Amino acid sequence: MRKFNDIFKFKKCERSVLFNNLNSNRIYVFAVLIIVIMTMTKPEFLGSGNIVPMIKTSLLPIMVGIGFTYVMIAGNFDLSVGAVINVGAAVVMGEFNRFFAIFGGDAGGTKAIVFAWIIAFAIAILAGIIIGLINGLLVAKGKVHSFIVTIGMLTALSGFVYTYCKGNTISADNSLFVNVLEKSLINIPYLKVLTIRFVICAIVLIFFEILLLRTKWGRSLLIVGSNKEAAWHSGIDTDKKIILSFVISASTATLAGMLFAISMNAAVPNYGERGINPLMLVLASTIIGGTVMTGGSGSVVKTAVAVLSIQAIFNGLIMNGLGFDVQVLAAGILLALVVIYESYSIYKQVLNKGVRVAAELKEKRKKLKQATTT
Amino acid sequence: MNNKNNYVLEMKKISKRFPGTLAVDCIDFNVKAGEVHALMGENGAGKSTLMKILAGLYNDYSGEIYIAGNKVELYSPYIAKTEGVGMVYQELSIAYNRSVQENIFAGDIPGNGKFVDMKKLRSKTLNALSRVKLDKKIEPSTLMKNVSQHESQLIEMAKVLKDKPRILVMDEPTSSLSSTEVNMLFDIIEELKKDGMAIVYISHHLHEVFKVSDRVTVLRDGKKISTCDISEVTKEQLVEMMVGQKVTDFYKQHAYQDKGKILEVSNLTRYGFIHEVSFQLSKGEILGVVGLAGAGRTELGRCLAGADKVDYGEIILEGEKIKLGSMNKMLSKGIAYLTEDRKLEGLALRLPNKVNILSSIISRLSRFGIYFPSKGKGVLTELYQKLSIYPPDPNVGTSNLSGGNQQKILLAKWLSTKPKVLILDEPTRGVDVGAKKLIHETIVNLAKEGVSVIVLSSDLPELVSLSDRVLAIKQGRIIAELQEEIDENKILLAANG
Repeated sequence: MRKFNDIFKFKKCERSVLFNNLNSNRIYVFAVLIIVIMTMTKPEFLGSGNIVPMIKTSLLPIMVGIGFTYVMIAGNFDLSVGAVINVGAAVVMGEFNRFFAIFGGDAGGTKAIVFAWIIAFAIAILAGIIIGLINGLLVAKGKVHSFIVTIGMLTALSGFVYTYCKGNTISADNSLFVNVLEKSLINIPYLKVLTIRFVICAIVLIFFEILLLRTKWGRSLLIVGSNKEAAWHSGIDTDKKIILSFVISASTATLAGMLFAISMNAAVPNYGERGINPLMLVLASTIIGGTVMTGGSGSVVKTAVAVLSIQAIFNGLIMNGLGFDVQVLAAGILLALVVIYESYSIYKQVLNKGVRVAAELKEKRKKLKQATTT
Repeated sequence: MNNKNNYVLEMKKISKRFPGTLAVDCIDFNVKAGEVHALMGENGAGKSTLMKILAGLYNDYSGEIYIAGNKVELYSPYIAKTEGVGMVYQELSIAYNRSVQENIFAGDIPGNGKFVDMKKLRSKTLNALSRVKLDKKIEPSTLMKNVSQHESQLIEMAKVLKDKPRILVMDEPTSSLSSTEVNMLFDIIEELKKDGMAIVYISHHLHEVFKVSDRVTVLRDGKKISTCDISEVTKEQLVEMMVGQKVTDFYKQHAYQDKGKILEVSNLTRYGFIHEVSFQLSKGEILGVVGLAGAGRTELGRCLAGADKVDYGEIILEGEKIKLGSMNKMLSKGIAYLTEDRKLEGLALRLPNKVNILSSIISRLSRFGIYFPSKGKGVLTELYQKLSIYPPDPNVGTSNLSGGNQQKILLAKWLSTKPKVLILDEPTRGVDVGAKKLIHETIVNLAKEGVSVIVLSSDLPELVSLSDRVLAIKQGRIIAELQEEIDENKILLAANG
């Protein structure tokens, strides 16, 4: 009986190689599955009138997900992104209005608008970088747990945004640029999605994917996340890498917030406090997208695909006549399932390893026996 | 230049003090090119500390170090690396989520400019792997978590060798290897020797030292005992040098009479850790279990206590077959396990002592699901008296206690459960002599009261003075049983298989 059991388990672990490969690319399987199911229930799901707005709403979380994935790969969490989005949005709008007025308002013409936008952009991004630096320094040098640091930052920044906006929604005093950003470049049904915002988002996404997987810097970051001690012994400046990962996170979140606010022509101080919090959406997507929660493995593009998949679920649920409450529930259940699955697969791996070692030993003993008998 | 003796490494009058002890006391140590120099000694003899100084992990040693005749100051791992010291650590530092090639070239990934050149990385990795004869066995892109322990040890070595060190230090490289794998490792060492590498080989395994090394240095209690050519000494002489003079009757040997079987273990197996371990335990017996690092000593204890999952096997306690289960279940049956790592697994250091001690008997002190800590007062005073814990106030936080008293608290925690079988994993690690003696007395008294004790330890004098019987474990299997006239030499030889 035991013999049978061993053989069975051994085969099972052979199978696990294939399973591992499938598991690391599970998000693609997941995405296809969702599209198939949603199309089967509602054929309109694939129509351009549905797909285009869906992708447009995904642009914000996709952009935020880039930095979030970086931080998680380095072995930390950045929970402040939810508030950083609002900082980016509020600062870019507020500063534009301020400098637009300084440059003479509508009397200044296009020149005033362009200059005001450039300065506002610079200030907002700078704010993002500073936030990231503070987070990173506190985590890497101050040795405070990233959870504490970034939750503190989240609270502080929410307060900042409220003070900055004085509780009101800020709109740009001149909406010339706003229209440019959100206008479709090509007027063909499905390609309507190609706005400047989309293009910026795609470029940033691809840039960070290449940075992560194809450069020395990115590869070192992966090693830092997988085993900080080992990385340090190999001469990698682990602190610098961790700080930079936080800077990337805060900057991409700021950029996302800026672009979102401009395209809506509104910076809302409490965006994300009602409804599905972008932080939760990004967190769920990053984990579902296969980034290891303890760090060391992950991909920006996979996170983006996960964002799209979750948006597709929301979208499909709405099309099937289900409300907002069910959406939130679905997102929660999905995240819980993935997290449980993650810990199960770690348990499984340890088990497989043990079984494999035992099988190797058995093989060796068999050979020894054969050698002694002959 | 003073390398007329062809020494690649010379360490002169090296000392290193830890709070309370002189871990390394004025040691001279040198290695020639193309030589394997074995470094031996019992636990705590100072081998690892000496080599950590060489690897640049301590920046407050005293003494002089010369590498190839030049004086160097090894104040950081990076300096040590650039000076040509390569160290293969006992605990491997592996990034499990990354591939073999990334692990080997972590820190200086080859490429053009800022970008990684995957082809170059692959070919360089194959090159590095060829030095440890793995290039035909392992694909560089395999993830580290899918590589066996033996292979990851060799990969770690390849990682060190790729920097072309002059001196290679190996700390217990064979602790988790099987005999064929050890032979493979020796072939590799032989080849490195031919290339003129100076190798320091730390090991407890006598036969390995005789097989592989040219010279041997023995340390004891931080002092150098002797350095000699391996051809000039015998196994017995080496063991005597390591063990030193006997500390006779430091503790009285426990006179034990057979009072009948209490525990019977058969075919206990956890894949990859322990394999078909069977033994019996009598009432009031103290059973020592000895094994080198990675032999499966701790794992055996954890499996018996239900802390780790067992794949198959039987445990019969007092004639009743126990269903293998959780630690909680085992505790209720009367099997308690004292962990070897009191800080991480044993105690909640920030809580007061009484909470720590009573934490194992919360359900016994509860009525109808409500916890009455006041009921534990009697237990507390009894244990405090028995173990003479200082300070005698149970409200003091555990973190304020000395190591010895913390260990007493941990022991008290498990004694309060009134176990039938008590498994002690390294009961006196990091404990001062006084506390050690008291703990040993307590163990002997417990055995007299009829509690069966299993002592898992790497401290040989402890095993000699306490045990009625010693089991030697190696690679997860029991390989020897010593019953009468147990002494350190016998135990050491038995553990070496």
